Amino acid sequence: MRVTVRVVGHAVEYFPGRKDVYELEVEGPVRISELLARLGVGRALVMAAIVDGQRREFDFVPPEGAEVILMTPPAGG
Amino acid sequence: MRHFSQPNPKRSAVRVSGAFPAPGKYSIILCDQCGACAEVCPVEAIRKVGDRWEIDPDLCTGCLLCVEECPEKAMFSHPADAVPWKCVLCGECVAYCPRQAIVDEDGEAVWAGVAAKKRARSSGR
Amino acid sequence: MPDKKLFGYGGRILRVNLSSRTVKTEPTPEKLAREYLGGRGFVAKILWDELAPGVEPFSEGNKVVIASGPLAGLFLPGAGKIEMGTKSPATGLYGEGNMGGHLAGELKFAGYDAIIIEGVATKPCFLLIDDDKVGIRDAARYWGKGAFEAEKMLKDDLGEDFKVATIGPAGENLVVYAVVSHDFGRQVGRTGVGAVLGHKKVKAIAVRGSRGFEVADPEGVFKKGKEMYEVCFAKPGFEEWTPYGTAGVTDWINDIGAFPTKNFQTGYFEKHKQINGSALRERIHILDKGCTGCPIPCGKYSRTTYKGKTIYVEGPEYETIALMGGNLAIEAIEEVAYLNYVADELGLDTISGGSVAGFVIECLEKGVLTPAQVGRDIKWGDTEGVAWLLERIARREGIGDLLAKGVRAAAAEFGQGSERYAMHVKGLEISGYESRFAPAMMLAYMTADIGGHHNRAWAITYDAAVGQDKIEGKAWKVIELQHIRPLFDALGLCRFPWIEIGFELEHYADMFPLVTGWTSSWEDLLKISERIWNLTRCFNRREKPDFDRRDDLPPPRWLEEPLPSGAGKGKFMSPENANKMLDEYYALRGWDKNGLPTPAKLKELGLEFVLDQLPLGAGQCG
Repeated sequence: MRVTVRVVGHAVEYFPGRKDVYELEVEGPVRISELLARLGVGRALVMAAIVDGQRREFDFVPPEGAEVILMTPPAGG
Repeated sequence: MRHFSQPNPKRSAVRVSGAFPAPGKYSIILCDQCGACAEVCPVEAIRKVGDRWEIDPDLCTGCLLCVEECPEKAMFSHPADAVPWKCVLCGECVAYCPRQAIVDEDGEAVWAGVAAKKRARSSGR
Repeated sequence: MPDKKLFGYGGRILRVNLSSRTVKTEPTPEKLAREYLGGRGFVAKILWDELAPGVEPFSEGNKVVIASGPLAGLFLPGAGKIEMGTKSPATGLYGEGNMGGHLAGELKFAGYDAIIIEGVATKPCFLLIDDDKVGIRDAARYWGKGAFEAEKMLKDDLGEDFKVATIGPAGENLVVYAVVSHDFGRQVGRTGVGAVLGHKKVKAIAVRGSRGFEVADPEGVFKKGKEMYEVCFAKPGFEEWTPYGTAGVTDWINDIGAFPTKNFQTGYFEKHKQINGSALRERIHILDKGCTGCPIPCGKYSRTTYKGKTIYVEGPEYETIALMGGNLAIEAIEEVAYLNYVADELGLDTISGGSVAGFVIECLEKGVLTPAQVGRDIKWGDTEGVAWLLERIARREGIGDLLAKGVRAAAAEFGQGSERYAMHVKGLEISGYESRFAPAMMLAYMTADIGGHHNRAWAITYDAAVGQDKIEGKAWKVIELQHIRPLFDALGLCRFPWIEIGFELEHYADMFPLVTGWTSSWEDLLKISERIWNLTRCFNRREKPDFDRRDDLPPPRWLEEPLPSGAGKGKFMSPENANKMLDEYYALRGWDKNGLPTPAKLKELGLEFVLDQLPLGAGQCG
């Protein structure tokens, strides 16, 4: 199934290829934390995950075709 | 930028006014095409073109009565310019306001905050 | 014979001498604009050229340089930043801060790129700049008033279309972390520029500009500007980041153990959710407020009531949530906002003010100070006590008189080991990132030219990306950031559209030639930024003849005390590792082992003139 991951914020520069959208094909349901591991990004870099406008914990399993928005930290001050 | 080709908010046809420290809000000064300027112009230099009132620069004498008369304070002048200017519905402010605080109501740029009031007023006229 | 027209520039530098009460204008030199751009570049070069080495910050010989930049005041995202600099009374080194609002554009609309304020007035005055009409006016009726109060009075007196910057009582009373305030909530916060203006008896600067300025390709600029806004509107962060502004990072900083808590005793605050971005938005926010041309206003204007008094404040933004929230263990956003308001109206820096307050509370906790000495007991979470302390500092009353000199001076006076509670680098109090579990961020604090400030290199996400434990291999990133971020400060731009919503740097590179008519590439501009960086390093060495790597070391708490809690529990930066990071940093920068630019590096950057005043590379050991 397909899950779209969209990265928001400064830390997009640390994601593979510095893209802000990733279309991932996954074998069945996966947790958000596993999607992160797939992208090779440290968990410490993601402040919040939002699916369908709702903030979700990292063990949440997004449904097929969902868009997962990863909020990465902005700079302060 | 569109009409004068230079960055200069003093040469724009829309202004923002702030009420600070209290109550802490902004208001937008914008022509509502009421035509009061045209009524007062002694040389009839302001004419209706479609939905908007426009100044004919060749007729304007620079008396600035329209600036005084405008109820919205939305007729602007600059010491270096002979002719004042006003909103001519170019639509740039509507297109680029990041908050859509200025909306297009039937071809007219209107500050969203008073759009409802204006609608009520014009339907009563 | 005037210089050739400079597109994108106001065109003139205004020189105001308060001692002789004279005002002069000079054309902005093309060479200065080409080689230093504007903003921070003008500040650094003018201070280097014009200050006598060793000048006392609170003396007639010090100057305040205020400079806008070539991309300020334009139809493009983030066009609203102005720089102000001086020799800092807090550090004795290069001092500089920037602020948003609407002054950067207005100065250029009046036809100026910079103001140089020299000498000292005999009585309180304010500068009135109304296009070509410039005057030094009497400020008796404003002197003593709060920063906001004075701004409101001046706008009522002069006209709402004047853009006004003011100092508060803290600046008037020479508190070394006094700010310059503007637009009811923006400040030039760090290094005490407000205090130097206070010493010069300048209460305010009021500017109105109607001339506009010219750009090389007006149609091109308008078209490119529209494109830039459309790109911003389409970014997810445009809708998602803007509601919270910088306060939105509070939870993440706690998660990674970097939130200053109880005078940097630790890096995690249990009550952080009571003072984070959501708390702000839900409980006190009334308006988003921004700067010239900005589509993502970071300003969160708020209203709250504390002990029956209703206050309005722009904030609290992240740094204030850190230094006047977690750092003092204040548990409610309303109370952080109240302290923010107190500091803002007094005109003192919330970062340094929060750091000084945290220092005092810890000294009381540890018995280095007694309540009798302070004037009252102040505990963690004691909003009332902190507000009382800020007033004492601003008015130089009681212990406030010494605290007005900053934590380094206060600790030197109190002794008894209180130096280990003084959280500063080079005499500037450290801002909102507890860095014992973030080595790149610590290196950024160690090497920032003005002292313990984060805005030169916010490297903490790099720590999170590659591992917060890793010490080596991070210097390159700090250096890269130290060239990019201050470049914004030289262009008159805000870095937030880039940082907060990922607006690509290429857009600014494309816009620059359309504005100035110059074919500089982004790499050319970064080189200028590196030039300015090396110049301010040399300025520090000139003002402090033994300035070297010892000045780059972090405070004892970071070198010796393990973090007691949070994600970084047990971590600290040993002196050995701190020096390893500096070794790597100096080598990459082309500096010698003492941390000083080599003659070869100076030549590469067109800074040979520095060698006329500084014998660098002549074998001195510092």
